[in-house]
Amino acid sequence: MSLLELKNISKIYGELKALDNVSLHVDQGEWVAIMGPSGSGKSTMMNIIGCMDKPTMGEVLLDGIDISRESSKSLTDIRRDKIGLIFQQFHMVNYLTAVENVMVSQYYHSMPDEKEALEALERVGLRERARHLPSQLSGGEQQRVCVARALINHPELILADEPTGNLDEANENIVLDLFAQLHKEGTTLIVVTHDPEVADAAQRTIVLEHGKVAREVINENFGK
Amino acid sequence: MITASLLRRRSRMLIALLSIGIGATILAGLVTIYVDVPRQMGAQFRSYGANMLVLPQEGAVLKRDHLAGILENIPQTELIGATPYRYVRLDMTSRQQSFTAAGTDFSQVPRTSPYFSVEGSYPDSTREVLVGKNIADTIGLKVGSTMELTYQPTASPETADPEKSRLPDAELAGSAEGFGGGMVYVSIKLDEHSAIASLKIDADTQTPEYGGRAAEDEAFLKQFIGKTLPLTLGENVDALSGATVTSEAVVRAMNDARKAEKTVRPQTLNFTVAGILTTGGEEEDYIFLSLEDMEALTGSEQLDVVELSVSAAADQLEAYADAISQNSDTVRARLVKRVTRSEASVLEKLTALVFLVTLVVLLLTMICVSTTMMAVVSERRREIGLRKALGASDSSIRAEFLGEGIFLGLLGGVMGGVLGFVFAQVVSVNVFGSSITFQPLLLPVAVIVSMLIAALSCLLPIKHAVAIDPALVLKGE
Amino acid sequence: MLFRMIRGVLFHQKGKMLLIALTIALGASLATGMLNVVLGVEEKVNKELKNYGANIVVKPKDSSLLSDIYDVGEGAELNTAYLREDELGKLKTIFWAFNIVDFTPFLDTRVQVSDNVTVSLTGTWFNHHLDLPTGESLDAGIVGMRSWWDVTEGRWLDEKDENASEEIMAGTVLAEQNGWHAGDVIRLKGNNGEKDVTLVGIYDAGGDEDEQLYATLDLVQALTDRENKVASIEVSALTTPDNELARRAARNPAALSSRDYETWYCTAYVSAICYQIQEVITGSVATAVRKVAESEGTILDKTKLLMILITALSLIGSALGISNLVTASVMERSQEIGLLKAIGARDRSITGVVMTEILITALLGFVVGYLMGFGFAQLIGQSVFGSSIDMDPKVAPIVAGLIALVTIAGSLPAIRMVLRLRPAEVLHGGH
Repeated sequence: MSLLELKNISKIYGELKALDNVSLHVDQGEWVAIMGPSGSGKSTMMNIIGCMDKPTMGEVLLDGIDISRESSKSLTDIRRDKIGLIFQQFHMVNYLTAVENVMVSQYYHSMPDEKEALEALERVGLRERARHLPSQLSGGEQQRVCVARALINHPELILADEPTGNLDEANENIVLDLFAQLHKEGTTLIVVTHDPEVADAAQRTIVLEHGKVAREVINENFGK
Repeated sequence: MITASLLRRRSRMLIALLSIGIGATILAGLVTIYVDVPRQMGAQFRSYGANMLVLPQEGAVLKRDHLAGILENIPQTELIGATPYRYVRLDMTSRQQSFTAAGTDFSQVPRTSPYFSVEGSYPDSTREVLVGKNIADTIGLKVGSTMELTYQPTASPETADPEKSRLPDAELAGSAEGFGGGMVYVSIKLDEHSAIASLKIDADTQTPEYGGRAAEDEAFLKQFIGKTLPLTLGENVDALSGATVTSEAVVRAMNDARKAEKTVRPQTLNFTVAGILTTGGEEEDYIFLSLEDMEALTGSEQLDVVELSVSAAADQLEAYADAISQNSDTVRARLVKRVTRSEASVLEKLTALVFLVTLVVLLLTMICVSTTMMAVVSERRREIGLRKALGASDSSIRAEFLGEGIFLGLLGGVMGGVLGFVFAQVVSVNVFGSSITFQPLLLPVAVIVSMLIAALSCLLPIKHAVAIDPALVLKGE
Repeated sequence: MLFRMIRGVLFHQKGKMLLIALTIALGASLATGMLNVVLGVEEKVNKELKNYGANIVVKPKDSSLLSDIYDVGEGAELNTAYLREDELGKLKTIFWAFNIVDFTPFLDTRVQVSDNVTVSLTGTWFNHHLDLPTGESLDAGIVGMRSWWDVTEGRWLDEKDENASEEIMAGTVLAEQNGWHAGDVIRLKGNNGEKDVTLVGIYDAGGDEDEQLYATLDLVQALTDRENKVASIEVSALTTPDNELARRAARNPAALSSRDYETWYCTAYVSAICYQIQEVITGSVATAVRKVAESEGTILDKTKLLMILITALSLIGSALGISNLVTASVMERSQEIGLLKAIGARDRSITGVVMTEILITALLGFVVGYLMGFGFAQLIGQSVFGSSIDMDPKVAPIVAGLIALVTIAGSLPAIRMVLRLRPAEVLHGGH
């Protein structure tokens, strides 16, 4: 069943076509990677899927709802309810502790629950660093907190933009293992990356070049 | 499409510029006001009236023609008014009352006595008077009433002694009661030996056929020539036949003769009340008339005092007073202590007030500008880190940011200098009703101070920013 | 959660918040200081203007002019109406008693001091101590009301001396003419007798008084057989500058509507105070000495206006400065705001949190600033006038209101603007 469907999406900035008539779909429970060199439009696509931007042309159906026509306000609501975002830059609120950063996400969704937040941190292996400020955490730790934040509200879809781009190998493995766990639990994962190894962890990879879908690669070795 | 960072950058510049502009406006505005307040406020104090008096020196006579020479000592721009006064007693015989009358120049009076309140108007033609309220109430005068005023010449204290008057080349006048109670008047001119050179007799009140002849009888008159006073009838001179009493009167008049006034007779003139004066002070007991009318009554152009209202600081006033006293043998000037003393003390406080206020406001504003500049520059830490990572040297970064800060200081300083001056002008016109003195140094000073403050407040944050490890800055928040 | 966020900002973003708090403190101190100075300066300058002497003179209603057809100089008492000395204390019982700063009675006569020298002798108070029924006490007299007199030889006559009624002071011109010096004994011959008095001091008044003599009221009353009588009273009062109502009332108080009458009576206009003086001093008429009263009014008005304009400028300056900085700080938080939005926070919620944080900082700044402003006001009051300036209680809410207004005006539009930006730009725009 299709969770996300992009129909003839174009994003045009003046002369530049960041996305040119892209169509794709992602089923519920799938783990999809979107790959491409820089300038290929993957960040733009990420923004559109993540309800942080609107396409110039085309439709975006998320769970049956055409989010390309929604107002900014309801986009926020949709984003909050259905999507968990993980950015390349570890965007944390720098005056809140790790657990508080996770609780912020809860706060806007339903209710802050410190216990649940601590459990989420536990899942990413950062229970002991709960009271630390971002300035006291390493890059890898910050990214893991962001992962915890993204999944605290049990979103249907997790959208990650270069989640391991700035991490060392150890941390990268932790994150990928976590993704595997989430996938097992039924979460849909869309991971945007330029790293083939990260793409290989997914079930299917969509390759973008110059704003168009170049090809799709099914990962034969998935699950092994 | 404006991206967030571009928007931030432009508004950052604007914010910094606005902050410096405000600071410069306040600096320029307040300093201009402070520098000019003493002059502006000082002019207000002229509403208290004359602050300098010019008086004749001992034995000298002050006349209206001397005025021009006296006033040369004071710059035109600072002389608000110069009002001459002659005080005499005038009688209103119809009411058996006698008053102090002041002869003056009504065009100057409002300038040296701005607090005068006149019901009706100041006299502007001859034979008109301004009457003090007390007199008007007591006598029952209204605007338009008429009255008769009489001047009785009296001996002035310095010439109270006839002997003292008998100087070489002197002109003397005397009077004595003659036949039937009528007055006989004589006027004498003395030669260089103080002997009588010529004389005139006025015996109109005497019997025309007898005593009245004294004025024309040549033999009678000739006997006086060459003789020195005092004279005795029967010894130095002979009586006119048939007019002994008159002759006695003539001799008495001559012995009693003192320094001549132009006329020796009482003068009575009719006046109309042009206005009634209220002041709450002693002026309400006076009658004011023009100097011309005063001359007509008294026959003399003499003045008792000239009141001056001069807009200048206390020490400058003293200098003017000294200059007037030194440059003249006839007059001396002194300050009206009551007015100058009080003015100096109050003005000093007001100036101190404006000074302190200016200081406090400036201080706070400058700190405010600094904090804003610091905030704005700190915000660019990331940018600085990036540049360092790209290879820029510390000194080039410092130079660039400092340069930007100074440029903003220049721009803001110019804006502020102009706006501040405009503000000072608005204040000056609305509060004091006059323009502010233009300060040529103001604009350059405002600009320099702005640039200085902008530069200094940039220094600290830049120093911090440059010291930070670029990797840290680039990594994240 | 909200609480945690606010706490987070205040504790972990101390530097930035402190800067805002400091700027607001500076603005608040400026506003507080200036407003208190403006409100208090009128009274202070008014007191200073008392240096010029009396602005009200009280005379008997039926005083006649002092002369007949002959030269004045025979010592004939030509004033037939007098005021009562024992009523003087009542001046401090009128509605505006508090504004009566000083007053002095006068009684003059002419005396002979040597052959052919007749001079004016004025009896008055020098530093007369009054204990009032209200419990107050004050020293009234020409020592205060003739501030521009300089004592060039000897000293001021002191009414506390037991010999005060045997002493006189002489003007410098008169003293020189007669070769007098402090300590000399002089014989005064009045209409009613003779008296030997000691010259305790010679003064330089810079006016007509330099040719006159001054003594205690008692001395002149005794010398002229006019016990308890005074010819005039000079009063120095703090007044409010005249306006249209005051002028109308001065012409005819009876013609005012009862509301206007009350307003006029209860404002310290010169005419109102004169009216009240006439109510308590029998048979008197009190008038403003225009020379002093008018000028005072002008100077007070202008000083106040000048201070108001300067205050306005500094208030506008601070307001712009504060709002400027607040806007800057909001812009600086655009990434954080964008993040919150990306996580799913609603606009209103974000606005609420940020505004609350800023307002708490503003509150802190206001409190500190108010105290600093108090300090500035006192600094100015003490340095310039040598007295403290009262802090007007209504200044606090006014300044608080202004600060709140300015802070909101600075932050709200900025927050809105940042929220309007797409999170995408904000979050990725930093690259």
